Amino acid sequence: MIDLRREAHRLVAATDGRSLRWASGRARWRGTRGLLAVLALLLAAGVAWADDPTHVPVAGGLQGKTCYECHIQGVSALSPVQEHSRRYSLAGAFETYMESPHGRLRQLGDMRAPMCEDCHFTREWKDILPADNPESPINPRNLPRVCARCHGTAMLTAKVAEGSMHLELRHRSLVPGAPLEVKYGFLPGLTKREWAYYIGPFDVTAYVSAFFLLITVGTLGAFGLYMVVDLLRKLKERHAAQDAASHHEE
Amino acid sequence: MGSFQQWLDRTNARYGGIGAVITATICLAVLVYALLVILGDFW
Amino acid sequence: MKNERYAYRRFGLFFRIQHGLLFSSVIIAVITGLPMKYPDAWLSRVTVMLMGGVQMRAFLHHAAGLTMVVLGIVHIVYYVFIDRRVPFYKRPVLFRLKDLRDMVQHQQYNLGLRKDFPRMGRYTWFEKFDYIGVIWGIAVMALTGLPMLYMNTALKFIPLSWLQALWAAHSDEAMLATLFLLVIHMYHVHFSPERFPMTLTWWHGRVTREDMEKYHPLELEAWERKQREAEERERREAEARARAAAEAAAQSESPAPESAPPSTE
Repeated sequence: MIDLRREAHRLVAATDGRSLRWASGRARWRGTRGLLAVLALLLAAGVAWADDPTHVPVAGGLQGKTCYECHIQGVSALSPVQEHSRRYSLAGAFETYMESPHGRLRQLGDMRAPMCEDCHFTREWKDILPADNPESPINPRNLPRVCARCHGTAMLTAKVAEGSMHLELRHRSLVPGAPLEVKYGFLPGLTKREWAYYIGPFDVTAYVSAFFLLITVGTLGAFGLYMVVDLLRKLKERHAAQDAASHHEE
Repeated sequence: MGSFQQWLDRTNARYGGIGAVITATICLAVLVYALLVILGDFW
Repeated sequence: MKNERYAYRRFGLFFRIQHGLLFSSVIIAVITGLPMKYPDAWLSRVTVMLMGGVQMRAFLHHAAGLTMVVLGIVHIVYYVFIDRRVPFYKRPVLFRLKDLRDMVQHQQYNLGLRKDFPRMGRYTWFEKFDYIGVIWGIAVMALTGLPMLYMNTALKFIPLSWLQALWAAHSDEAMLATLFLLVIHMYHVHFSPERFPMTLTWWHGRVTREDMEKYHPLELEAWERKQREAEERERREAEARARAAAEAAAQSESPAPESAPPSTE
């Protein structure tokens, strides 16, 4: 037979005569402290890993220069080379790459995701050629083969040529094909830029984004207001009920 | 179900008002921040 | 029952299981999806590292998404084709004109412009809105997510630029759903003053009489009316049986006529 009384007394004696409730509370606090310590360590490790600058993808390029030294949009005054890129719609390639699925995966640490040279500059081609050159890997005729190198032979018959990896998904003119200008957001730190790329006869993505923005802001704004008013009313009723209850007691 | 539910009811009776205000404020702050990020992103 | 205050069962086990699967898959999908939407945020990289890398992130996200798709299909199939007690277009959860009126009256009541709280039935207007949000959300997520998941097949039929539009829809709808849940749904179940710290209705399916009287008075009245009618019917049947038994007893004492004894059915 298990003598529960004796077990309970032994536990009390082990805690210097304090109550069982105190003992279990102390054990829980120690456990919590340990758990918090482990979580804090994990978080610190994660932040250190995330802050590591080597995780920003930087591709090698021609003659020791990295691609983004020229092919970056930037917000400050552009160098002559960057102005040249911009005029020929090549600026911002780095930023749009970072916004593309490949760029996003790269930022999250996937080393299999392709970078600039993987699509633009391969073994077979000893140079980086523009898309209208029939020898270029990014020519629509050759693009399926380039994609199929990682995505498999199913890509060979896919319609990958009608689109671009370098399209920034939200900041596009609603007038298709019109050149865009650098614009700044209305709040500091929330700046966004726009790119000069031809996006086809109908920019579906911009309209989709606009629609969702409308319903998001609309729904959340309306319900947020309802929530505030409802909260205030319920607090008032609660206050009144508590007042009535206390008066009742008196 | 019993004792946890009773604890919840007791806590609601005692701290329902202030608890609601605090958590609602935090959530509204999150909402406003998120809306600003979304709008600023789009602008 | 341990707690007699919660005397009214609103949600059965099947429904609560559906809700549990739903919130589990939504939470996992959101946690694994946000790093992809904001990959340069430090929290995104920490989260991905903590869950085991990008491939794990992708696997968990797809698993949660497919769970939601299956759940949606099961839900629709069950409530439209299998549970035929009510034809699906008459189900109480569907939005009606009355709900629009209730919504307006609710705002007027909150602003002090109206004395009476709107009288609602089985589902209040905001509960129905929550439900519509889920239906719309899962529909959009499934229709935009499945082509992205089965990208090789989808690209045989639609061009890459459409896939990018699908991505925009998927991630924007995710933000809407996440924010709506985090703010509005959490208000209704966590930090409304009546509910703080939380309601356990999602677990045991029960509510108090005060809840029923305030938010579902029409349902309560209908139910109580049915109860009364059932009791009335039983009482009358019991009386009829007692009367018949008394007559039979009386007839067995005195000489019985040739007529057959009355049926007691």
